[in-house]
Order: sequence, then C-alpha cells, then structure tokens
Amino acid sequence: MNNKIIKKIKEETNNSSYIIYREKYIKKKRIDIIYHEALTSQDKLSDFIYRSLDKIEKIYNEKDFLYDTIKNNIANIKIKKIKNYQDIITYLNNGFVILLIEDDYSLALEVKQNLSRSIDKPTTEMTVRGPMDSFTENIETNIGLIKRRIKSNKLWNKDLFLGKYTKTKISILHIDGISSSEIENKIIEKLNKIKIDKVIDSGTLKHLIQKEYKSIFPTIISTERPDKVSDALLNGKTVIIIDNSPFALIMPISFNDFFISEDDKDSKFMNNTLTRILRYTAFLITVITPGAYIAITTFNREMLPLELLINFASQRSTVPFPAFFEALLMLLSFDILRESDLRIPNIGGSAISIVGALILGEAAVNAGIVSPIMIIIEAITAISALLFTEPELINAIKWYRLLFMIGGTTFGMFGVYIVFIYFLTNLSSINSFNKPYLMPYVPLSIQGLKNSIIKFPLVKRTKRDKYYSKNITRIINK
Amino acid sequence: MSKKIDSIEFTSLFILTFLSSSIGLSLYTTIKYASINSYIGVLISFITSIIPLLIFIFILNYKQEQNIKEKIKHLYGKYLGTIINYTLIRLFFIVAITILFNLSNFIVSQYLSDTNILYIMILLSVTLYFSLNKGIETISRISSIFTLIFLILLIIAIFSVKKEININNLKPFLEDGINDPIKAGLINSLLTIIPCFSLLIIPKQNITNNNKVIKHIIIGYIISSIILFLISIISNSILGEYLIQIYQYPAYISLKKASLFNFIDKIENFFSLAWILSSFIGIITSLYYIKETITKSNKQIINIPLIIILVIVSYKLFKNNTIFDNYIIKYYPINLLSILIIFIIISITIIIRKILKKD
Amino acid sequence: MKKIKYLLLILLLTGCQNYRELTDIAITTAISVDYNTNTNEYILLTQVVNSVKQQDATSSNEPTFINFTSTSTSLSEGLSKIVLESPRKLYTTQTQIIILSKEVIENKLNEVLDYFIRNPEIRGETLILLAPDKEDLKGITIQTLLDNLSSSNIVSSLKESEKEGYTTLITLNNLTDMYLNPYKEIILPTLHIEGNINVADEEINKTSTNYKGTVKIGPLAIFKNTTYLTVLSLDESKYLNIIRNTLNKSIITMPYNEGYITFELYNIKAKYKPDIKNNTITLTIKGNAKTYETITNTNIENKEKVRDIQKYFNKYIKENVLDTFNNIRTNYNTDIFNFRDIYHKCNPKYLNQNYHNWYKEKYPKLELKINSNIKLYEKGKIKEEIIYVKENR
Repeated sequence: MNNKIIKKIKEETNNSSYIIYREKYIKKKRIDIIYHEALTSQDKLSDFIYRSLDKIEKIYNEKDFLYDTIKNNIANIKIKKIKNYQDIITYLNNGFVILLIEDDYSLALEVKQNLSRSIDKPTTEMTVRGPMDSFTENIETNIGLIKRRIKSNKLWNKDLFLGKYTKTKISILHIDGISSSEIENKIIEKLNKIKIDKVIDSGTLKHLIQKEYKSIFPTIISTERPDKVSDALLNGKTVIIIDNSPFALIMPISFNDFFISEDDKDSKFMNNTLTRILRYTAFLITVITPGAYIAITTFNREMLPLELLINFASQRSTVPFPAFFEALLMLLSFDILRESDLRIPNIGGSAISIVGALILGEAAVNAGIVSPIMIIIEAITAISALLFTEPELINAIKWYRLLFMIGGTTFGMFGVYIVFIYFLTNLSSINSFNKPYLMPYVPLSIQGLKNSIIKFPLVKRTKRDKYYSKNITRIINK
Repeated sequence: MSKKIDSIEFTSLFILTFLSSSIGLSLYTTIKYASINSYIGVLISFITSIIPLLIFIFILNYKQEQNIKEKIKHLYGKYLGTIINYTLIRLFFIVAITILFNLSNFIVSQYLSDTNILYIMILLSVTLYFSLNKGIETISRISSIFTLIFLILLIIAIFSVKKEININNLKPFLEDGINDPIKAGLINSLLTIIPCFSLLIIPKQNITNNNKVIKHIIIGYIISSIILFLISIISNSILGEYLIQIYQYPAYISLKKASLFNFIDKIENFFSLAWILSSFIGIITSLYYIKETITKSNKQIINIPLIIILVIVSYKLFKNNTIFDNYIIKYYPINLLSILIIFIIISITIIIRKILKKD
Repeated sequence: MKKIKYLLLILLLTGCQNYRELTDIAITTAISVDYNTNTNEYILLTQVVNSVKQQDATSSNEPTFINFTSTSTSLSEGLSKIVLESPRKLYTTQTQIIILSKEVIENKLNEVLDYFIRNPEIRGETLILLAPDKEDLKGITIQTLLDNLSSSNIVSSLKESEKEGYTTLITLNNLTDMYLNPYKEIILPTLHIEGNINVADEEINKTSTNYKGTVKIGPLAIFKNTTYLTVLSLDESKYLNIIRNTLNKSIITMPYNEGYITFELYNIKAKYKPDIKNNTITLTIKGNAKTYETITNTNIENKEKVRDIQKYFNKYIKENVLDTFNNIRTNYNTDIFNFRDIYHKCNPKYLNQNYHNWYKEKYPKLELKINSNIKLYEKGKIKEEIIYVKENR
C-alpha cells in the first residue's frame, strides 16, 4: 500500500529531487518517511523525530498497534491524522513530514522551517512616537503580533484557502461583541464562488472582494502596522491577514481614515486639531490649485491685485504655450520623476535626483519653456500630496486634478465650481461595505465627529461610532 | 434599497430649496414692487409663509408610509388622482426651468459675457444628470455639505461688508405707504416656500429620527428667513434707492465692495459659489419629484429624456432677458399660486375625511 | 467611469469665447474721456501697462506704460477702435481711475454713465476725477518715479489726500447715485498739472530728482445740476468736508493771542437734526484735537487757559463753517451739502407739499445752527510752549 502512494507522488511531482523518501524498519515493520527538503528543517527532523523513532523501537511491543504507539510516544507536539490521499499532498506541501505506517494509517508531523525575515521596522508608514514593529510574510507571526495586543478570547478568526495553485491561507478576524460577522459572511460567500489561479498578495484579494469599477477612491485600506490593525479591530472593523504578504486589509473604512495617523495618540487635543485642519487643507490644495491658477489667470483676472497681475503677465510673456499645456507638462515631468524614484536602486539615486532638480529648476525657466510661477504652483501641489500614505488615494487624486484643470481652462472659475460639485457628488455616493464613505460628517454622527477634523480629549470620547458597531459604550475610568 | 435619509439632511434640503430663488427671483420682484422698502416685504413674507408651512407639515404627517403621489391616489381614486399628479408634474417642471434659466443668466451676464447661454445650460444639466442618477441618499448628503458651505460663505460675506452699511440710505421709511411692501411680501412668500412642497415626495417613514423632523423643519424655516432678510436689508442699505432700481442683481453688486482685512478685495467670485449651490439643489428637488412621480422603481432611464426636455424648453421659451423678467412678474406667481391651491384642496379633503372618520 | 467621459467630451468640445491668455491682453489702468462740442466726438485717452520683465524694462529704457488715443461718436466704438493702434485688445477690469472733462459732464453725463455702469468689465468702485482744463486730461501720461504707473500715483495721492481732509473719494456708483437722486448735487475731486507739460511724458522726467512736470490733486469742484460752477479753495474744501461728515483728519490753524495754534482734528463726526417746519438744521460736531504747534506765549499747563483755548477754538470752527456755508450759498446758490436730501429723509410728505421752489424760496432762508464740541486731547512730547519757557523764565 505504501508503495502505491509513493509511486503516485513520484508521478505527480515528476520525481522531484526535493522530495526525500526514507524507509525505516521498526522490528521488521516498515514505515516510510516522506518530506520536502526545502520546506522542512533538517535539524528538527533529525533531532526530534528520527531520534524518537529510535526510542520507540526500543519500547515497541510486537503485539500492539504500531500506529498507536508512534502516536503516543513521538516527540513532536503537532500531529495530524491523515484520512485520504488529498491530505497527504496538502500536508507535504505545507512543510509537514509524512509517516506512512502499515495498513493505510499515516501521520503528519509539523517540522516547518521559518523562511521569512525577522520582525523589522515598517518601511512605508513611519511614526515618531509609536511602536515600530511591522508585519512579515509569515501568517503565524502576524497573528502573534496582533494577539499580543488583544489578549481576549473574543478575537475570532475564520480561515480560508484560496487559489488553485497557490492555496494561500487567509484569516478573517473580528472581535465578537463589538462588530458583527455580517461583513465576514459576505466575504466568505463571495470568495467561495470564485475559482482563481493565484492569490499572491493582498492587492489581488482587494479586487476580488470589491468590484474595481465602482469608484476610483479606495474602499479598503492596507497597512503593515499591527497597532493600527488592533485599533481598527477594537473600533468594530474587520481585518483580513494573508499568508506571504506583509500587508493586512481593513474594512469598512471612511474618508476620514486617510487623515489619521498613529502619531495622533501622542499629542494633545488642541495641537492635534491644528494638525488635522492642516491635512485637510493640504488635500484641498493638492486637488484644486493647478485648476484654480489656470482659471484665475485666463478668465477671472480681476481677482488678482494689479501688481501681481503685471508680474504674472511679464513672466508669461516669454512662454509660447498656453497655460494648460504648461501645467500639464510640469505635472507630467514631476510624475515621471516620482515613478523613477520608486524603481531606481539606492545606488544610482543621487545622480537622478540632481538631474530632476536641474530639469525642474533654472534650466527650464531659462530655456523659456515654463514660467517661474508655474514651477512654484507645481511644487506646492506635489508637496501637499506627499502628506498621505495610502498610494491609492494619490492615484485617485490625479484624475481629479486633471479634471479641475480642464474645467478651469474651458469655463474659468465657474468650471472649477462645477467640477467641485461633481467631485463632492462622487465622494458622497461611495459606499464601503454599505457604510457611507463620508462617515462622520454627512450622516452626522457626533461620536465620530469627535475624532475627525476636530479632536476632543480622550476622556470625552467614551463611545464608539454607531455606524460601525452596536456596542457603543467604551469603559474609561476617570 | 430602503432609501433612508437623516432628518438633518431633510432640513438642509428644505433650507437650500427655500433659498434657491434668492438671487434673481425673490429679490428682483420685491424690489420691483417696493423699491427701497423691500426688506419690509421680506419681513411680511416671513409671517404670511407660516400658513403654507403648516399645510406642508400637516400633509407630511398624514399617512406616514406613503409619498404624495400615493396619498393623492388614495384620496381621489385612480383617474382623478392621476390627473392631479400630472398637473403637479407640469407645474413643478415650470419651477425647474425658471430656476435653471435664472442661474444661467446670472453666470452669463456677470462673468462669461461672450459665451452662448446654451453652453452653460448644457454644462449644468450634465452635472444635474449625474447627481440625479445617484438617488435620494446622495442628493441629501451633498445638500447638507452645501448648506454648510453656504452658511460659512454668507457669514464671511456679511462680516466683510459690514462697514459699508449706511442706515441713512434706508430712509425715508415707508414713504408711499404700506400697500406696496404687503404686495411684495405676498409674492415673495409664494416664490420661496412653494418649491419646498416638492419635498413631500419623501414619505415621513423614510426619515430616521422621525419625531424630530417637525422641530428641525421649523428651525430651518426660521434660519432661511433670517438669511433672506439679512441679504435684502444689507444690499438695500449699501446701494441706496436709485442704484437698486437699475442694477439687475443688486445683492451681487453690493458684494463687490467686500474687503477683508483691508487688503483682500475683489473676492465676490467666491460668494457666487453660494448661489450656484442653492440653485442647484432647488432644481434637483423639483426634478426628483417629477422622476419619482412617473416611476417609483430604481430604473434611472427616465432621467435622460427629462434633462434633455428641460434644457430644450428652457432655452427656447425664454428668448432673451426682457421676456424672462416680464414672465417672472406676471406668469410665474400664478403658476405657484395654482400649486398652493391644489395643496390647500388636498389638506381640506384630508380634514373632511378625518371628520367623517373614513380613515 | 464611462460617465466621466461624457463630462470630459462636453468640456473639451465647447470652447469658451471668454478665454484669453495673459499675453493677449492690454491691461488698462486709466481712461480719460473728453468731448468736443464742435465736432460732437468723444476723445479717449487710455493708459496701458507694458508687461515686460521689470528688470529688462529699466535696463533697456522701455517705458512701463503706453498711452493710446482714439476719437469716435460713441464711447464703445471709441474704446474698440483702439485696436487699430494697439496690438492687443483692451482689458478694462483693472481700471483704477476715470477722468472726465467739464464738457462731458455738462453735455453727455447720462451717456457716459450708461456705458460705464452697464459694462460688466468695469467695476463700480472705479474712482472718478474731474479735469478742469483740457491740458489736465493728459495727467495720466506723466512719468513718475515713486510709483511706476502714473495712475497708481494718482490713486495713492488721492487716497492720502482724502485721509488728510482735502478732498473726498467719489466712485462710479456714488456719481450715478448723485446724478439720479433729484435731491443731491454733484461734487468731484480735481487734478491739475504743473510745470512743463511738454517734457513731462519723457524719460527726462524720471532721471532728475526735481520733476519737470507733476500732477497735483486739487480741492473739490462743485456743480449745480450738471453745470460746472467752480473749484473751491483748500480751506473751503476742508469745511465742506466737515459739513458733509466725510472728514477724517485735518489741520486747522487758529490765530490766538498775537500768535497761532495749529490743531490736528481726528475722529470728527457731524450729526444733523433737521426741523423741517421751521426750516432749520442743527449740526453738531464732535471730535478730538491735538496740537503740534503753539506759538502763543501762554501757559498751556494751566487748566483755565486750556479751557479758554478750547472755547475759542470751537467758536472759531463755528464761524468758519457758517462763513463757508453762506459764501457758497450766496455766490453759487447750489445745495451741495445735501440738505434737501436730509429733509426728504426725515419727512417726505411735508417736503412734497410745502417745499416746491427749493432754490428760490426755501434754500436762501435755511438757517444753520452749529454746535461744535471738539475736545483738546494731547500736546505732543513736551508740556510747555518753547516761546513761553524762553520768555517767562
């Protein structure tokens, strides 16, 4: 019987040199040991399993059932029973060692090797005064980092395995009593209908859960900080953790979540209010400024004082292009520079940034291609966009920036106002998992408003947002 | 979808629909009848608008799970009810084209004087189409944001012109007697509160916080009346008796004197955003009424012909400015009065049925 | 997403005719209008900014502004004929001043006002000036150093003069109001040119520290129903401003005790109490004053002396105001103080019934009672008079 199984495995894997087959006899009964060399750790195998098999050989009585003896006496804590051939394949590919014992009984023992990097600082979201550990590619480490922070039995999880070839493990977490399992059930229902080849990372999963063409603004946040994830769980949100990806997904979200950072817990409410107002102002600046500048200098020039207007006119007299193309050219060059910044290895970085500064600086002005005022406008726009850490938000803003510019060239300030109305309509109509996107502002919720553009002190924020969870009271002892 | 909206959003729809005719329609007619005493007309209209407001609340409270179309069908039967419904559709359509032409005329005459008015109308109607497609939830959300922006802009505007106010320009008080302001007040109350009747298309059950709706609406009514009164009295006191009669949009001209902190001036452009937003909501409520009365399902296919007919009729009907001005003085109040009469008859029918205990 | 396509298409296909680049406009900062009664034509003179880089302008000897002229029978055609001479179309939104000549105001004021008020590109806050002589119309062609544009020069000078009490600011809206209101008369600030006009618009005017030709703001000019009467003197201008309640600050010299004291008035407010049945108006003047020069050989630390000075000063102001009022009334018989408007605002019915012939019967008999209540406030850095200290040691 064992030979048949071994033959089948060899056929399926094309006699792969990484799968090792070993025979061992315990008092003339044969057991086969099968393991995958790249996934298991040789030390654990030799030290624990092989040595304990030797010990078992000594205490084995020929009348007893070999399977039971091995199961009771083997020196490995995680033992799984194998019921059919499919289990053998699953466990073999997951880093388990298979013991084929007589008469169709088999065991699988875990001797997994840790193939991921150690816990490191986060690379995309930095804080000044917060914890600095981040997720890695190993799902157990990630769950461990979360569990260290939420030491309660109510943190429930459900596991799924997705992808025909990848069989990636994902875990859906939520805290029972604070959030309902409605979102979880919806996600599981959706994912069970899909048959997909691969789920390699969190981005693909994002697009499986929500349709891509519903809106251009992101409705799921991905993060690599465990403290942000535990905060979200305690507010009533649902989190998905994926194997082999250091980014976890949080849902549902609102527009306000892009303007909150983990540093805010450290500062007082009055200082923090100013910072939040600054972030909202930066958002408006980065979307509206190029369009408003073009509208003011081509249609509504009476809004400028006379000296400024003469200055602009004298600067623009040397430039041959209309204002719209000039702005487009500057935006294009800045975006190309930014893309190249993400791709270039660290070694060649400094020379490229010098070239970029030269392009955007004196040389372009002196050659007569752009005017100095346009460079200032583009610099303000680009720097304001660097305040946000979620890359999907920046990509969505680019579309609207273009639309505001088009509205400004064709109809002046009136065009800018019309595009502004369209922008607000679009934002208000987005629903993230049936919760409105502009959450604390427009379906007005006072508790949510206490942690949005203005912030109230900690002792006054005693309730949870009623749109996320039914269990409203938090307990804070004064 | 259950189409639930919040009671604060409902109030903001009410406020902006009330103020949607403030720039060209209501101020124009009050000045035409009562020139320098038009603010007294606005004050009188605050009192005379209470009766339509009570009718509005009364009809809203009756049979809270049905909207106005179903209520009419329930009261009058199938045939008569359909006739009344379609008459109301025609009357509210006239409201929508008036506000659309008013807004486009304002933009063309003050800013983009070389553009054909048709382009502005097409641009506005495309945005209206997008917003109408999204449904009542989105419309109510954007209207509460717009109300906030409107109030902030208005407060800044009042603050920046306060040193130009000259009370001497308002004297002599009531030189020609009180008859003219009373006439102006009656017409003003028609112009401002009748478009709000299109909000009856939302049944009261669909509003969360059911018990606070009435209180919020009364507060919203008081706020919008105060705003209209302030606009009227400030623009009268800045410009004086003779300039008010020759300018077409005196409220806008008086904003040109705004100056903040002694160096920011010439910013009347920002304040015109407030009028664009309120007219926008005014048109959308009437269009939503028409759409919901024709078909209650979620299909949005009716929106396209509706918007196209709106633009074509509005462009062809008002050929130039003078025709539009005459129309506002003579025919538009008759239109609004007929809407009011229909709703008075409906409320009398409800009272009679309640007395006879048929319900 | 496919819906955004429609919005984009519409925005791109419809071009807007108002679109003009900054390089296609000629920014106009001043317009002067003159009317030739013989040939029935308007003569227009506009000042346009030369938009070259300022460093290049001063180094290459280019002027910072250019003037264009045109003549035509109607105003709008005149302003559009300027493109026959200038390479760009006029852009009049930033116009700061409009200068009108006597002939325009006497003959064609309603047409000029109709054009300027109806035009959406000209703001109602543009300042209006009167040029009493034909030569003064060229005031906007003079090159100046402190402000690069001569129109900015005129505007700043006018605003400072208004603060010092020599004149008032009249905007386009104010002028229309004065013209349409049957109870008010027109007054306007003036400007005139001194010096050598022939070289004033050349470079030589800027390269020397003494100007060869300058523009000066003059006192107010008065009208009677669009007929030009005269330009007042500086002192009469000051007192006229006090009566009309448009004075902010001013300097008045009062002779006292073989010497004189100069007072600087500030925070002056005038209130009217009209008594229409007896045809009298009571004017109350309140405010503060401080002294900067006292050459009277009195001890100004003494309480009673100061009270004396205050009484004497108030009497002096009262006499001078009455004198101005009577002079203007007897010499010119025009109601530039807007007293008829004040009567109309307090009791319009009585005015309509009884005051039919304002200029023949009622205005010559108007009695003006003045109460002046100006308080002396401070004396500057020193406590005593220098001449008093020297002579009474």
